[in-house]
Amino acid sequence: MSSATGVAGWFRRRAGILPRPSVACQATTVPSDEGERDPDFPDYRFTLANERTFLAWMRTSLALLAGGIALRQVVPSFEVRHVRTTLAVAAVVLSLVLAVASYVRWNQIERAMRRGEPLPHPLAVPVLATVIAAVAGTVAVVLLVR
Amino acid sequence: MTGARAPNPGTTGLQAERTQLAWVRMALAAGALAAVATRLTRGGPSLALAVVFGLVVAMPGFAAALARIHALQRQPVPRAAAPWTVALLAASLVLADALALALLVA
Repeated sequence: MSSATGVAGWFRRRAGILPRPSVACQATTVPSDEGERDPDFPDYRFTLANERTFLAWMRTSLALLAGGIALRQVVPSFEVRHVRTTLAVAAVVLSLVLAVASYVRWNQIERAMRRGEPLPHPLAVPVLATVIAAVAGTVAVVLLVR
Repeated sequence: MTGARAPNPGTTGLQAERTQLAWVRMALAAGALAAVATRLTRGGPSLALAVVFGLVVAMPGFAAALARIHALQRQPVPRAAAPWTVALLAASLVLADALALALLVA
């Protein structure tokens, strides 16, 4: 395996040790395939991977929606007023944002692959991590104060 | 010219199959969420809203999944999903979120 591939290569690229590929997911030839491919259409493996990533984001959004509903309906009320509802609303709002962002991202990646441009950065990942950490931290504080 | 060729059965079959399974999981998750939402609010004042919520979440998801699975099975070489399929699923979830917000705030 070359140094530019695999997990080690990914870390090196993230750390700036290796240059990022300037062109990502362009129409490529499957190693075992033969014949010509229309360069306007990306390799089906990449477009299907993009679709599955979109579906994974949608399931994450659904899980947040379910979590928000469960937080409001199942979890006993905290002693601090409105905390439970606020957290539930935060989860549902994040779910809504993710649903919109996942479609936008699917569209952006499809366009980038067709044009042979670099893939856009996943901005939703840090947002998701931050909000989930904030919700979890708030719950922890409320439970400790109780 | 679409760039489609005779597929490599091993590679294409697995890729398409994994994507179909992802759509099935998505439809199942939507159905489960709809059932849970209806169950949680059963007997409450917002039963009608809960049923609407369940339908909004589940039905477009099922429709989009069926359409996409059918397309993947029909195409010899998989193509990108139609934007309306993806948009339908995302829009149904956005509507479900809006209804859930209404449930929570009310």
